[in-house]
Formats: sequence, structure tokens, C-alpha cells
Amino acid sequence: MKHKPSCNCILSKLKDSVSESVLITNAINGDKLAQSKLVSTYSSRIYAIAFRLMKNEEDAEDVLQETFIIMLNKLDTFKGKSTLYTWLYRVATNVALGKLRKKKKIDESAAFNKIEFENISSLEMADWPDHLEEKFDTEEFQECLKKAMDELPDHYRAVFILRDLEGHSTRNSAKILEITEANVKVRLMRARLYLRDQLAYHLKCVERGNYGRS
Amino acid sequence: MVDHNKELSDILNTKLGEDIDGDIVQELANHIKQCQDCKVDVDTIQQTIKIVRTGDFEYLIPKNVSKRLFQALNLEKE
Repeated sequence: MKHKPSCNCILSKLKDSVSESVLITNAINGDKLAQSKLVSTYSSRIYAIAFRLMKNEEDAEDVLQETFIIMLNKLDTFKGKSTLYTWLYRVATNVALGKLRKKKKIDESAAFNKIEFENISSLEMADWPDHLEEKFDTEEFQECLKKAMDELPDHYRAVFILRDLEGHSTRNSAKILEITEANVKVRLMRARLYLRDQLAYHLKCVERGNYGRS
Repeated sequence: MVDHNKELSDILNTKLGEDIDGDIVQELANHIKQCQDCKVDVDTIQQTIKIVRTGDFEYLIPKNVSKRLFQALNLEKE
């Protein structure tokens, strides 16, 4: 049975969106308190996406600052077609991907992509046992997972984060990254398959009892 | 609560690269129940997403980073 939102829930959302639009208008008009409130509300979430994409604190901080500088300078161009969070997310993602491109990480990733990603779908996959959590709940595994996420090419990682970790829709992710919905799907599938292969490899090592020996 | 139908539909949509409607999702779900290869394929993708979500990927903004952000914006922290 579908959950029907209660009146209180709808009213509360409506109230939030009205108060945010007042804050935005005040911030555009130079109200420092309103600007601070918007920065406070979204800075943690924007830092999280910046860190996930840049993979180090220093670059994540640069992305964070640039994103909010852009927000303060260009807030009057925000049309309210999406939420402010989605708008900021798009700005942060573009700033981050621009920085990565400058560092030529994108080119390196593209080379990686050619080598690794073409073979992913041809891998044979065995069924995974029940109670997987126990096998993956180790420090080694957390390291393996972080490494796998780090190795994902930036444009694949961005899609995976938006869709599977942040829960954005395909349409929203496409808008944020300014790519087609079809592209979101292709990148997401490749990212999922790559991560699955890495987990499968980890699982094999654990089952053979030779984790970390080779 | 996890909506398994939505999850399956999402995986099939991305796997097939196009939006598929509810009836076809149901048809594919029936096929997956009987076809071991497809079942393994979809199950392991579902588990991958679940496992990665449990990973330690939350990055809280450090206090000094937040402080420098407000300084750079010439704003006072609330």
C-alpha cells in the first residue's frame, strides 16, 4: 500500500520551500544573515560531494569555496525551476569536474576506461552467499571499497554518487551533470558493474583465505 | 523501507538503457525468478549498491574548513 503523506508533512514542506524562497530573495538583495543561513544549510552536503569527487581535503575545500562564491554572485540567475540544493549541486559538480579536467585526471581516467570498462560485461559472475555483511565488514574491505571508488573514472563516479548514494533521479542527475539521461544510464551501469567486479574479487580472496597475499 | 520493485525497475532501466513500463518490469521479474544467470546478475548488482551504501563515505565538513569558508565569503557564521 502506498504511503499517503499526512497534511502536516505537506504543510511542513510547503513552509520550508516558502521560507527558503524568502531567504533566497533576501540573499539576492544583499542580506548577510540570509546569505549565512543558506551557506550554513548547504555547506556540509556540498563539501561531501566535493570530497567524494576530489578525493582530498584541500581540493574539496577549494570546490566548496568556489561553489558558494558563485552562489553569492549568481543567485539572481537561479530561476527556482529546481531546488536550490540541486542548483548548488550542479555548480559544485561542474567546478569539481572542471578542476579534475585541468589536472588531466579525466584523460587518465579515459585511458583507464578503455582498458578496464570494455571487459566488464563479459565477466562471469557467480552467485554471492547470504550474510555478505560479515565478509565485507572488515578494515581490508573498507580499504578495497575506497580504492574501487577512487579508481572509478570521475565522470562515472559522479553519476554513481548522484544516483546510488544520494538517490537523485536519472533526470535530475542528467540536469546536474549536463549530460543526457541515456548517458547517465550507461555511466551508472558501468560504474555498478565495475564496483561489483571489485567486490566479487574481494569475496574470492576472502573465500580462498589469501586476502592480501598476492 | 526498501521498495524492491522500484530497485529492480531501476536496475533494469539502466541495464537496458531505456525506460521500461511496469508490465515489462513484471514480465522481466518473472523471467529473473526462473533464469539463474539473470537472477545472479541482478542480485549481485543489487547487493553491490547495498554494500557500497554501507561504506564509510560520509564526509562531515571540518570546523576549520567551515570557518575559512565564511571568511572567504566575508560572512559571519550564525
